[in-house]
Amino acid sequence: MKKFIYISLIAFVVLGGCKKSIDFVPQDKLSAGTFWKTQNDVQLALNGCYGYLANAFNYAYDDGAADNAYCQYPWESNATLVSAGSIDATLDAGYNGRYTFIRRYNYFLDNVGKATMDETVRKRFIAEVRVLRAFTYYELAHYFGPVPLLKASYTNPEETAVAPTPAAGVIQFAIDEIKAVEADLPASYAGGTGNQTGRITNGAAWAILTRIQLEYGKYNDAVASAQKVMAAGYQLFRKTALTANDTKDDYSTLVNFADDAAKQKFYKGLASYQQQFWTANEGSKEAILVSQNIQENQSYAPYGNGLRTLLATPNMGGWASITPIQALVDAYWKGDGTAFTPPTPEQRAIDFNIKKTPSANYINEFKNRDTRLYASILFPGATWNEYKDGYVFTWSGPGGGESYTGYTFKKYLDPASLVSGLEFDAPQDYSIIRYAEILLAFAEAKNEVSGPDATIFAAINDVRDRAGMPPVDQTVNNTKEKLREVIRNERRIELAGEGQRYFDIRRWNIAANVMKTPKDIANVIVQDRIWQTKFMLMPYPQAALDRNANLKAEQSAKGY
Amino acid sequence: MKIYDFNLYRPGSIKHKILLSMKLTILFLFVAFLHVNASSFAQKNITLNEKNASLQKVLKAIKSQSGFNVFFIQSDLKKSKAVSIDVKDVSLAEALNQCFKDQPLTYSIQANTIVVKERPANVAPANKIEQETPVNKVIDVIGTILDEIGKGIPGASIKVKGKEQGTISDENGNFKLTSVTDDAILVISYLGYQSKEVKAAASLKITLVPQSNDLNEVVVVAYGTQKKVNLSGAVNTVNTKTLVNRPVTSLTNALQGAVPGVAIKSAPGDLGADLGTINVRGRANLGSSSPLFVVDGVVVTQGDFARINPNDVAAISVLKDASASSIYGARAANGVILVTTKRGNGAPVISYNAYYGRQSATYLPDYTNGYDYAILRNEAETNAGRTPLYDATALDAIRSQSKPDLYPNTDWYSLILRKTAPMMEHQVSISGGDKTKYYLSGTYFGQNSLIPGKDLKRYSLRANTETQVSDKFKIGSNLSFIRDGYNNDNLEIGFTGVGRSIPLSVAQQSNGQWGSVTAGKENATIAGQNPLRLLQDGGRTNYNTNRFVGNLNGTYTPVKGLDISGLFSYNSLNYFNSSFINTIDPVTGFITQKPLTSTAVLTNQLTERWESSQNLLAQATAGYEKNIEKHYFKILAGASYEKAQNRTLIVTRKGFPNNDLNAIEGGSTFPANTTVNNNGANGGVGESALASVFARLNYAYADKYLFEASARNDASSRFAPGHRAAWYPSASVAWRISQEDFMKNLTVVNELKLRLSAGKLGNINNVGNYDFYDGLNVGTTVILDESKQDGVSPGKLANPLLSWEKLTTYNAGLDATLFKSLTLQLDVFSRITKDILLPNPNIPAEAGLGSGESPSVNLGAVKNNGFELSLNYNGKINDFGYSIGGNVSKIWNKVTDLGGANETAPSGYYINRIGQPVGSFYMWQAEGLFVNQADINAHAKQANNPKPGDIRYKDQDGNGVIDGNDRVINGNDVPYFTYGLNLSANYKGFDFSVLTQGVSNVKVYLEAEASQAFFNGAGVKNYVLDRWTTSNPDPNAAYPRVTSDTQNFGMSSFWLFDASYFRVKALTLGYTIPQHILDKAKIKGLRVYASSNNPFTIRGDKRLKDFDPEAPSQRSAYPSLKTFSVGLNLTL
Repeated sequence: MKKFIYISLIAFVVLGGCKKSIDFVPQDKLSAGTFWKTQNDVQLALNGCYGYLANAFNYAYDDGAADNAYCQYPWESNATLVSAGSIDATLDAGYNGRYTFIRRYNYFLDNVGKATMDETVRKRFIAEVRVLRAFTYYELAHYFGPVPLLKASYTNPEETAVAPTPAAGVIQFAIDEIKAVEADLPASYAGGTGNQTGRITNGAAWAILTRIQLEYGKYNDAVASAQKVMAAGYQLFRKTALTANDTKDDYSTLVNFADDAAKQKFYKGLASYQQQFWTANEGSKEAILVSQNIQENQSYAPYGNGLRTLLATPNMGGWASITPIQALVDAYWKGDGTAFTPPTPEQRAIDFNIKKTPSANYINEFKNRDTRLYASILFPGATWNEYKDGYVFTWSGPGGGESYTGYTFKKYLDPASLVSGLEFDAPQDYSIIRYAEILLAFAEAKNEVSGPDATIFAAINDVRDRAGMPPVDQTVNNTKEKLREVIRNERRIELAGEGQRYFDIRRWNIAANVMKTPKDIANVIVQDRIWQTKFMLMPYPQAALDRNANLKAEQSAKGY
Repeated sequence: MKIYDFNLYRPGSIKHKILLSMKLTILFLFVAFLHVNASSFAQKNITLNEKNASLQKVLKAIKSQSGFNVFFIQSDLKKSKAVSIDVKDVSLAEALNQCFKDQPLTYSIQANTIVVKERPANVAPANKIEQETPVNKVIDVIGTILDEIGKGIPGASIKVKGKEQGTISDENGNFKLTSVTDDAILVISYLGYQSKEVKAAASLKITLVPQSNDLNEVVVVAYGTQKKVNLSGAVNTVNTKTLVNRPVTSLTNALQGAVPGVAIKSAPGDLGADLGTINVRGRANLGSSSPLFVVDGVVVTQGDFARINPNDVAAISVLKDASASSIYGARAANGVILVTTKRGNGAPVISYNAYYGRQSATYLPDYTNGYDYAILRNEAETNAGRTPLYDATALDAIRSQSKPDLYPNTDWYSLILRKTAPMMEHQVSISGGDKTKYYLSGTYFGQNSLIPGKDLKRYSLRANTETQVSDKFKIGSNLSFIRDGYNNDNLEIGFTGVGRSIPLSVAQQSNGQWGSVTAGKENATIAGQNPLRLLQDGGRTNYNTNRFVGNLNGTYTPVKGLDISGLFSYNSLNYFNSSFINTIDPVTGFITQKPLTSTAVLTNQLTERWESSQNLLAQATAGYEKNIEKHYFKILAGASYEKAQNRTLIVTRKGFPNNDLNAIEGGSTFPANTTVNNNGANGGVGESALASVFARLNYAYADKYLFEASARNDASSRFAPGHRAAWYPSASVAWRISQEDFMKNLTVVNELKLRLSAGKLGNINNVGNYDFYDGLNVGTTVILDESKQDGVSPGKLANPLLSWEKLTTYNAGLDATLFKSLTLQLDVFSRITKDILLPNPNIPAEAGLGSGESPSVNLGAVKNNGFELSLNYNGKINDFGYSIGGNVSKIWNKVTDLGGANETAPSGYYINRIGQPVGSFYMWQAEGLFVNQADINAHAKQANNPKPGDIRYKDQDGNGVIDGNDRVINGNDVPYFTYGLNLSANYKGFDFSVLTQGVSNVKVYLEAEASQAFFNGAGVKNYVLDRWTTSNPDPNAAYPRVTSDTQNFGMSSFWLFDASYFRVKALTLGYTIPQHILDKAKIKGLRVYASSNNPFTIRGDKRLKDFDPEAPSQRSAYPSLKTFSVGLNLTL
């Protein structure tokens, strides 16, 4: 009896208390209602916005969607299908993911005013987010053309199914936004909470503007923007003294050095160009906007640089996912800075003599070429002692995850991170915009505005000289048209693997000429490629179309 | 399974154990009595010489010499004194007289049977043999009550019709009634058996026939039990006989095919992940629809339910309609599965059940050998305009296997998986009790994985007690502790890695080094992923879960009919997992004999995960029951509070000095290796609570018209204040037509009942703990300053207006017993789910909500109409007893409302559209393969630049372009038609049973490694060999032209496969050892059996023959299993 009373007492006491005890809130989330009070809150939300810059190494796939590379695994990225011309709404070229950040930016901008904080800092934070939003909208327009332009946060998510704004409007918005806030941004960040390196600087804002204005043909503005960046103290990364490691590979069999000075220039150029992408040289003055990575000693850690795996060959523990195609290899200048004339594919196949020893003729193709070819590309016969003593890149055809093209990217592979087989776990930063791009953008824009001049040559020659290459011949390249070709090719090789080629071939309107079926060294088809005019813009993904009827008319207008 | 009054016994288990407890001799005599054959006896004289022998022994000797049978009541014999006798060649009467001299017993001889009986106090010892049955008006009746297999039923009630007089049979089924008029009618009844009336006679042998629809059969219902005949809701009971003695990994899997309308998926999975899932009456909503599990009155998780040992189960009821389950309110929308575990009673009974089985895969992925792989790969290259990868020399080496170190033919599955793996179970239980009744059981279950080194051990303990403290007060407890886990010396390897390994990669070189060569070339990436190497050298894992479910309950009965009960339960789960990843030396290249550096694992790491969840339930109920003449009332009211909390903690450290340490502390404390910078620590808390009040009213008039009404109010913490509580009422009526006078003369119909019910239920399963809460995500968002930065970002959109999913169910049912042996239960139902809780499918992409971030909304309605029929027939031809049972269920599922829209935006493979069932596949319709270029040119334009042999998609809108507008519904992934057929038979000691189950008209979308060649670098399945080629340009070929890209992998009906099947789930053959053999070993009962689980399957799909239709998987996964086992049931 007593026991029973005891039991029922417990039961009823517990029951009596139940009104209160059904109130629970998550213990791992912040309440939106009580957030936005302090500067720290704002800072955390700002970091959330910066997520857009994480894992930018995926831009490298864009080279595979263009005529610089081939991506052999269609399940990894869209690049395989895009380059094959197998494009329809079943693929998402980055639509959904970018709007995730638009939501974050708008949420930030609509709430940042609520917090009690230093006004200067608030202004700067707002500027950082508005630039990020502008950059994101630019990229949306760049891939998709007209897109819905959402400038404020929403309460009802269904309100976001608005009609697309024409690309010109989106771009104008992006430009206006950056211009409106650039003055609030510092030239650099000292590091530490609230001032971490990797944030948007004033230089980054102008660099983004430069890229946007160049892509959309606003050459005058691009020149002005580029000049802002050029005045901001950035400079190309140059290695002034060579170490023993820098000269581990003997290039004297490939390059005829006129004298020791030439040899020094070559090795310095090689080391400077190649090592700017290595972990040891992160944060150099060439870096304008980077996506930072760290090493976590663990495969598929979310913030590692994946190129360690995507570019490397199977024998380095990589997948050879993104491999250079012959057209890119052919694009590298000769050592004297003039265009290289490649052998016919048929002749090359004979010389290469796949699965047997290549003939001596084959290696001639790689003699006395642009330093950046040696820094960027592993071709059969290339040595890379700094990676591993005695390493020679060989290729006997695809299969087993080997390159389909016969080449492998060396650029962006840091020997230090090739030691382990941990996939995607490399610490080096990936450049989103570096100073060389600005110099070349300036050159291109200025040439379009007013034809060749000394400032243009100076800009190009700075880039060339850093790579140990001779200056551009001003007497030959003396017209806007001739210089335009030089600049375009310079841009292609300097920025190879950085995702720029995708929009370059579109804005230059040369895609129809260059999106041709690539062949490997043995003159075997790598991938059937088809080009149609509508591929200038990517279709909206089906999932977006299904949920926003306003996209349908634009989708048809784009030809999909 | 029927629930009988626990004060009695249940057939098949305790009964036989009690029966067998009789002593050897008595049994012998008893058996003899059953085989009385008067004509063969000749009067023989008796010779005996015994000193202080038991009366039994002496009677046995007399029996064998005389040929007479001997009958006695066991309790009488206990009173006998020792006998000393020395007679030679005397008459039977003489011998008996000597035996019974000075005994408190006497005897009579009736029809060649010596009947031992108590000596009446006033009667002197008999000295005269009664050669004939007395013809008095008053007789003594002796008899035996037997069950369908000829064994005595103890505890059966024998009553003289119309009188108070009566008795109960003893442990052997024997009884006697003194001074009965010889024209009296005896009514023999026993729970679970059809009552029988016989005319009184001096000696009777009465066999009772089991009755599946006995009037007194009691079923477990919500918060109590109820006579089955008085049920007005749709409740199915499970025959627990079909659950036991099968080599299944869980109670869930054992239930498959046992109940109509209950669909169980035996998902394949490695140890501990193969427990299966349950769905009752189809998909009511657009998300998860698991039923509620209530064990001994306590809500438990599916995991707790699954791990209950079937031998411990006394009864399972499945509550399917609103009236049966609405008293469980909010969580009962998808049905309720009520489990009662066993209780003891009477003398101690010890039983031991064990089996040993071998598991093997039902289907292993059917990958091609190395040569076919090479041929297909070459063909893929050729189809892409490239040159073949493998030249004639390589192909020759692959075919002849002349250079296995360079061109091997590796069968990865056979290297990774054992062909068979054992499993076994040993269960011991002891039960009994009088005022304190107890049931204690302990189980050891051991299951080895097909992956070597991974051996699950599950230990279960259950202790159920019930004490009648006083006339008015009863307390009880149910405690269960289950621990399962394994220690694995090997690393857990992903099956994706196994699926991706191709036959041309070497697993181990001939020199003993790990494989480094793929198709003639060293390949570090592939060598580093060698699943065999990772398995053996990669590390170790172990996991353990401890599950405790305990409740204390008390019932106070102040006056007759009033029960006040309290129940307090605590349910906890502790999960622990530890995983060590070893440093491994690099693989040495077989060709270069240099290490392939990237194959080394340079950093070791230990990860420990801990998870704890706790559920608390406090519940009080009061019930009152009253009969007023023909009116019967019962009222129940109660309140309960439940709280659940879940915590997780995951910690990782790296850089251990060697691979042998097992504590986090042993790892490096450098920031990069510890939890500080490395996200090596994760943890979370989840909490929810439910506060409820409920009530139920039952009314019956003359056991003929039945009425029930119930209501529950639930308030859940998962909704915002103001939206938390809701009422769930239900009502049902039933009419027992067979009780009507006009039915009395119909002998064909023994029982006929019509049931009607309606009610409303709530569902909360698809809402998260905090979906109402406007919260912000925290965590690392980016790297700045070369280190991780904490950030905050908006995550899942909150919906403060969120409320319950509401289901309205109408059910009409018919229960009938025909010809005494045929039972039928038919239910027709309609279930409408409104305000379905689901992530809003219509959120525009521009809203920027990532996966899982769409707000939960109450949207739309789904209607399930269906019927369920179960039929069972018990028959007997002489010694051959059999039963045939079948069940069938068909559900018509239809989306009826989507918030005003005709359809929601397609999501994944599916679309929800008004008028169509849930789970409709929405994609392009494949219409075969392109035959030639002309065919392509004439067809609508497909964006994938098709070539002959590629899939041709139907241009539904005829606009000449294949795009999103050409998607159509292509079938369904839910088996809305399910059926099962069960047979059992017994002949003498043998028993045999077959349990089958089937589903039809269902499809499955298989892509990736499951069906697509070279996907993600994987091998090729053999069915691809029937592909389209230029020499076999069959537009209906099993596979398109092979390519190594995703050319034909667009979402289309081509990748839909038929998942219909008919499967023999279980096959059992048993033999019960005859008692006379066991008696010598002093064993009360022994049955041996052989059983097989999943032995045969007939599949619907003819194209892809290597997937288990019951549990298909897109990606490579642990296979589903079939099992063959032998076992025994022993009672001591």
